[in-house]
Amino acid sequence: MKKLILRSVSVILAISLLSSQSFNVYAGNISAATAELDESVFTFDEELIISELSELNELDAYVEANASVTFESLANEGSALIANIESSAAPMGMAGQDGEPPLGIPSFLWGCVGGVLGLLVVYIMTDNDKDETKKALWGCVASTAVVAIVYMVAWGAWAATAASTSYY
Amino acid sequence: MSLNTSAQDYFRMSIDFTTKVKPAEGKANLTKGKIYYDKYSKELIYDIHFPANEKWIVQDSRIYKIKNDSIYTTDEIPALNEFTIFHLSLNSSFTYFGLREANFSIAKVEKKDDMVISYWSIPPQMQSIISSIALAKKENSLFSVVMVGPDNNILSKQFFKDYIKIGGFEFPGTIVQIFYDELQHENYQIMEFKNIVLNDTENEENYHYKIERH
Repeated sequence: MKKLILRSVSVILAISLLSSQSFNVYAGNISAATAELDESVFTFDEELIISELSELNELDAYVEANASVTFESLANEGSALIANIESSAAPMGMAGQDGEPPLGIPSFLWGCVGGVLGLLVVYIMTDNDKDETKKALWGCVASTAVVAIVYMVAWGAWAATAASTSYY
Repeated sequence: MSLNTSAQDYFRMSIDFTTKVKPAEGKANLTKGKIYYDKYSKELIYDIHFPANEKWIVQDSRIYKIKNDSIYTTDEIPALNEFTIFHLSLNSSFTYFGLREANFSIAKVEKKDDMVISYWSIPPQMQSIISSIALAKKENSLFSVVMVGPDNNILSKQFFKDYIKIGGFEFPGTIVQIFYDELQHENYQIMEFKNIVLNDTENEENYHYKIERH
């Protein structure tokens, strides 16, 4: 029964979105969304980044050459390689975890796993809390993840419905 | 292997990863290990060996963090494994960063030198955070994603380079990410990938982790 209800809600949300998504997207401030970016924005200073990451690169080279080494073993040796390095893993990237995140899930994780979708989820669930959304953005940027049409459809429909309700 | 093989013919991958994070303030972070992903079971496994040996298992809507075969943290998350770069790359859907699949629309396209840049409209609900997203493609591969804030300030820049290409499959070997805090300080994150293995059927156990529930 629960599955049936959930499925019905999903279908209703999807249909709602199909009828409202395009309207909402195209009704947005398109001109503001298309400010042309200078070509230089699409470049980065590779040498600067290599310089900024020099300590990490040095540690990385050491770990590559010594496959069994861990942070703990380096700490026990008093290695200078980990002087400014965190001891915890962050395979998906990282961002601040202060405050009370939605559902107790760190915002960066929403962003990491959901990409742009993560932003939207956090945005909606925190009642448009900009700080939380910005954390999700960090996660989004820091991740290799992207968005999903199904969730976007569901959340987009929810948002569109909420927005249209507030308009009238 | 035939050069005509499309990405859809690949169903699982493993790859060595290195994540380097250098924030504008605070300590840096180095994480190294191997990622296993099977697009049919949709199980994403991070087998981490630095800073310590541990596994992060993402199954359905939960993430489990495991050390010495014991779960030390578990969290509920959206079931989004099929929308990660791993899944989308195995399905040739990474080129538009998932925006096309998410029903975002292209507002404008322009060509600058060897780049084709597309600007994507943002739903009004999100425009107070992000005013636009621009994607740059080079040689038909995603090269850069730039997110712009409402005051036309750059929020973040991502660059995808050193593509690993095997038949119809491609995956960025390096992802450079620069994101800006409110004082416009630059924070850096680099993800490096190597030693990709596709369709490994001889190490089945690496792609599935049975969570012991007590």
